[in-house]
Amino acid sequence: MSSFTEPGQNAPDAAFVLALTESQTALRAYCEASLGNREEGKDAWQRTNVVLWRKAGEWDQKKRFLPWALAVARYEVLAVIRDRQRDLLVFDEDVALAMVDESLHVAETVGARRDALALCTEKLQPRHRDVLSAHYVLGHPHAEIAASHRMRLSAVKVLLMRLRRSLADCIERRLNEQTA
Amino acid sequence: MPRLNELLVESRTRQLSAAERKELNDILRTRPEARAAAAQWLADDVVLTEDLRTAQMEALVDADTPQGAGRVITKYRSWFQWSTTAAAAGVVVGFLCASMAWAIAVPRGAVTEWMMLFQDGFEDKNGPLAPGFPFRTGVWSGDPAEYSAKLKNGGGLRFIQAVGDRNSRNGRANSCDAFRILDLSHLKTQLDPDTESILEFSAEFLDTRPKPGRPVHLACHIYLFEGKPETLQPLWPVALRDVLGSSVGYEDSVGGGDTGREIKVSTRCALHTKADYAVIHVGAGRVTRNGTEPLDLGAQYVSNVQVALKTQALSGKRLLGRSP
Repeated sequence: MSSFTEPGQNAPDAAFVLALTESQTALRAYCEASLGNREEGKDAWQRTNVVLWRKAGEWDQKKRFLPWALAVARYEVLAVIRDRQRDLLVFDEDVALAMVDESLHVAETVGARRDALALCTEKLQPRHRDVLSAHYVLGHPHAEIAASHRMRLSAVKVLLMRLRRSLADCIERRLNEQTA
Repeated sequence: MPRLNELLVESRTRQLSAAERKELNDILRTRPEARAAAAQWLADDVVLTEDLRTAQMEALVDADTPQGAGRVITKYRSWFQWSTTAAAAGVVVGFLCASMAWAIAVPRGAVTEWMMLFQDGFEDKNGPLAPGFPFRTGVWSGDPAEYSAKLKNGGGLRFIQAVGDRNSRNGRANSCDAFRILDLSHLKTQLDPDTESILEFSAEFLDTRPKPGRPVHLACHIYLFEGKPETLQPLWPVALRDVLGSSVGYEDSVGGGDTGREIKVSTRCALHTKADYAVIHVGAGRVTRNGTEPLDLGAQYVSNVQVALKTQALSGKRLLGRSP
């Protein structure tokens, strides 16, 4: 499969599709970091992709794609903040607005952190990887993870936090090694 | 910032209490370094999730080998403890065309029930398959292929050429693929929470090569997604990272022999409660993903593509009280 044409429309060119694809993790990270909530983040991320696809012709290919895409994402995140139900949000509106700008810097570093993380997760024990996948990918509740891995509930929480911090430290170490 | 991290982790798994929410927001409101740390933590959550999901997807793709024939891959294994014997004994409620199927509720009250969601024999189509991944529901599109009315049992889709995928990991042209997006959103409100719901996807393939040749991999894949179908096209197949569930079934054919023999391929997938739509995918390609041998395509067809929904009550005890 390589064609992305939509009958009757001018399809974005290969450079756009490639840039959009490569920016997905950064865009999603930006949306979720700004909103502090996966579901809202996903909503903003999907809206961003639809808008980017429609605006493909406006991208100046002499300029970097990610900053342009993040500017679009910023508008979509602000729209989610404006439209969302207050009782469902994690961040208060003023905090979310502050996080919108804070997260821009973070999103620009996602590529490097992703590469570093890949080296870190390679070294995970299979059991630890399973626990992380159950939590992060499958979204299983802690109690379910505890039951399926024959662990106490408190042990699952401690393990997840320990693994998560350990991976964050590992990312920093790898990045420091690269810049040293 | 251990407390900040704890609150962020807790917010991921449950709704924070009002006091916890206030504490989190106060930390972020008053401490710029906490905002930077929180943004980094949350962004790393996404990166980690992507990394773990990619590893799962790679394992899933690797499982798409002869050793994995007929196996069902899902995030919810318990769905597949369901006995196929029970399925075989089920009551066939009726085979309806796709347009009618949405108008009826999922039937309740029987041990195992079937409902046809989609059926296409390609009888009413001609000419080439639309190129690229579908941009909406209700259309087939994919690699170079053409509709044919020459088959003895009616219409079919002839696989002509494999095209490399720009968005895939290796971009190799391993398979000639056709896709269709099916809307499942209407089912969300119709499914009984006390039933297991399984999608069964099947297709009949033909390999009309008169003499045996190189093996060709004939496959059916089904993928379930949440969200809006129109967001999928620009991101395919990268969007597979967000798949809710998937399964694959296949047969390998060398042709020859009875060239009119139908090769039925089927697979089953649990209907995830969040699924808004399914992508069904039929293809003919290399037996091994990393193979370099030429593909012997042009004589392979697919026809009679069907997606059926099977439902079965979860509790045996309850079934006794629900007997028709």
